Amino acid sequence: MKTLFLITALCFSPLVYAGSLTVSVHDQYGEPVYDAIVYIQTINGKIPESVPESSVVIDQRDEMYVPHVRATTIGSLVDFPNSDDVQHHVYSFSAAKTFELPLYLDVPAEPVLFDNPGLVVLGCNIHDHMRGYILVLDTPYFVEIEEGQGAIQNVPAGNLELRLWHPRLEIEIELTQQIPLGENESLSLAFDVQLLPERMVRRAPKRGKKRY
Amino acid sequence: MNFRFKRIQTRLLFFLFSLLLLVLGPVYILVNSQNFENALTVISSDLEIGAANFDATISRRNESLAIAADALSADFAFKQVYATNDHATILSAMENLLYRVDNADFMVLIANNNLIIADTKQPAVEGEAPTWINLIEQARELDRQGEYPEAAGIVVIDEQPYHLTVLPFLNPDIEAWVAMGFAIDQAFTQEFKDSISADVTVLFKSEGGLWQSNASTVSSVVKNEVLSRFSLMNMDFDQTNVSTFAGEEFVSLAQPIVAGTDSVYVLLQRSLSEQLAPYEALSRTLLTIFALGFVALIVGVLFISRTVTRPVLELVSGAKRIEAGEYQQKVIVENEDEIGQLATAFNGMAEGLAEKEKIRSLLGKVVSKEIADELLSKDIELGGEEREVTILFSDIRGFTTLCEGKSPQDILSLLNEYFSAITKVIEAHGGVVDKFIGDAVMALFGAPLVQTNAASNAVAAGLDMLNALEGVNQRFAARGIAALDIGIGINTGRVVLGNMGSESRLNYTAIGDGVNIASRIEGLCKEKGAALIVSESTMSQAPEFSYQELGEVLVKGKRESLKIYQPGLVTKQS
Repeated sequence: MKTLFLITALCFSPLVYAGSLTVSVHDQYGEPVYDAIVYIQTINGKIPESVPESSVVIDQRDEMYVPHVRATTIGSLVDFPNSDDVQHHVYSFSAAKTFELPLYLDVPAEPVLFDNPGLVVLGCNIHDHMRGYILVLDTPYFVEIEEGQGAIQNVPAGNLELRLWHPRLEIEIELTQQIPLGENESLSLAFDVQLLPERMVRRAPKRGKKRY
Repeated sequence: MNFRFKRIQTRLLFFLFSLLLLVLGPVYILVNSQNFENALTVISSDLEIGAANFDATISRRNESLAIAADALSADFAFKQVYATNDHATILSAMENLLYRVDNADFMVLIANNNLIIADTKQPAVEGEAPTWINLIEQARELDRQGEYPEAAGIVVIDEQPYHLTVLPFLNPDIEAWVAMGFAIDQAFTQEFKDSISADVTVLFKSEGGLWQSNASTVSSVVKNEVLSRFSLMNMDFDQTNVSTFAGEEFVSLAQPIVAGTDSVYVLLQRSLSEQLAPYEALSRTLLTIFALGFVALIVGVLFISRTVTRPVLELVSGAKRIEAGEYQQKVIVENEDEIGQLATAFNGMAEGLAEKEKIRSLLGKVVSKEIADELLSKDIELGGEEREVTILFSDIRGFTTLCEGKSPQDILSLLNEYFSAITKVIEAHGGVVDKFIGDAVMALFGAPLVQTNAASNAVAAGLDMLNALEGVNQRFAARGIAALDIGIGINTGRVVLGNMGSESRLNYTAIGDGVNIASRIEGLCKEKGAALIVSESTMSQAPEFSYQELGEVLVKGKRESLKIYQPGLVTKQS
């Protein structure tokens, strides 16, 4: 099924130099979407320069990664503090970054460097249901959508290659759209996306047997 | 149909056998049909339980495999192995895990692009699509719907059905699929047969559409028939049904091993005859009881009929002997029942008959046979009847003179010889010697039995007596004895006939004028010089003879005169 991809571009008025993008994302039920990342991959066909972020933190609280989804720029160092009373064993076997932080409490000694672009899926060796996503980007123009809203400021004018990613996108690939942005232009974009239901990561107990 | 039994034995046998059949036949039929129904019910119910059991067994095995696969998919060490991307290492780790899992026969790891990463069954295979992608698609669809992506089904690989379960390999998101399978093979069917005591056959449809079986606990003959019937689709296997395979009756029930997959079936069967074996023993016992009953019946009937028919046959032969005139031999019957009573009565009857015959024979000697019969034929009572008879009197003339100089024995012997001769003649002509009076004889014609030609008989007898006397006289002459001379008088008239005398002793005789006249006429013979004289009444009733009238005489004591005649032939002779 094809995702309905709707863009409403509204042009309004003329400040100088750079424009901005306001993005709203709703799912197939019209509900505002969380945990989506909207980013500009290229401007006029070129990947814009980015700088590593300095203080990226993915916390572990109540056996969950917080935030659940995070985008960051290439070369960023990410800290994985553990705020729970139990130890966690953070790992990823994703191609963009394979690492593990064996069982620990509090803050590990070193932050983890993400030096390749791509999706990094985080797991916990001792808690199957813990899931976290880090989208490592080589562009500085991205926004994490919360409550269906997000905005990217100071975007240079030009032809933008806009992408949307979500861990439960039905087609399992990013949405891509070319958008022209004029100087000092502010664009409002609305995405209607088709999301899969929350993934079940545990087998259901069978015949009354408690399995977890 | 109208049966007629010639023998009581047959009748009894038929009746009792029918009775036995009527009572035991329905019992036998009822017991047999109940046994059959019962066996069928038991087997059907057992097979249904067996089928449910089969489902449960498959499900249980599947569950244990799923648990193992699930554990693998969350196994951190395996994630590390997976990350190596080294086929040999991955395969080795899978084999290692497989080794830990009971009942699992193989394990396959399939990438999200549906290509095999590693397969313990085909270690060399890599990057090929399995034939059962549909199971992965099923699981994937569940994932799309937010359910745990787990699918199970039956697949046939190299003509061997496997039960396969597919689960996601979580790393931590779904990166691949783990499939684990166990073979539904001979060992499986055998094990299952032992637990439900029914025969188990696994059938699957080959590519050509024909049914094959890789595992079965029935004989190959039965198996082949099952396969051909499955191939012809001419069996309704979804319900328990009874049909014959290789000459043996089986109750059968088939179901897909996995619901919805119509290409692989399990067929459960149990032999009806094996189930019926204990009942057949009962049936045989019943038949034995019937046979023994029948033998006892025959023996009983033979015994009873012997006690009935033998004495009856004995009585029959006794009756036949009596018919033939043998009264002496008694019927010997030892029964004390009604037949015994009958035999006793029969013997009594025979005795009575013998007694009567004895009397009859004696009477025939003392009196004439006819009188004896007359006496025996009716109740003897005094009194009699009046009717016309012909009376003959005969007398030896000069008997007193004859007796002189002779001993009484000689006289008696002489008389007896004479009487025997004339008695024979009288009887030959239908006359009856009424009595001997000294040297005289009184004979009756027409009594006790009525004769129409009594007079003629009497005249003929008189004439013959004279002839017979000649014979006697010739024999006497040879012995030097003087010839006898006799006179005969015959009269026909009404007399009184009957038993005369007292209650205790009586004689059958005739009295009346007719008798007296005959005697008088006989007395006239000497005077008239005739040997035979008949009265007018006799002459008129015997017209076939010629007569010479001898005149009219006045008989003593009679007022009327009487014409007398001498039959012609007599005249010629004298």
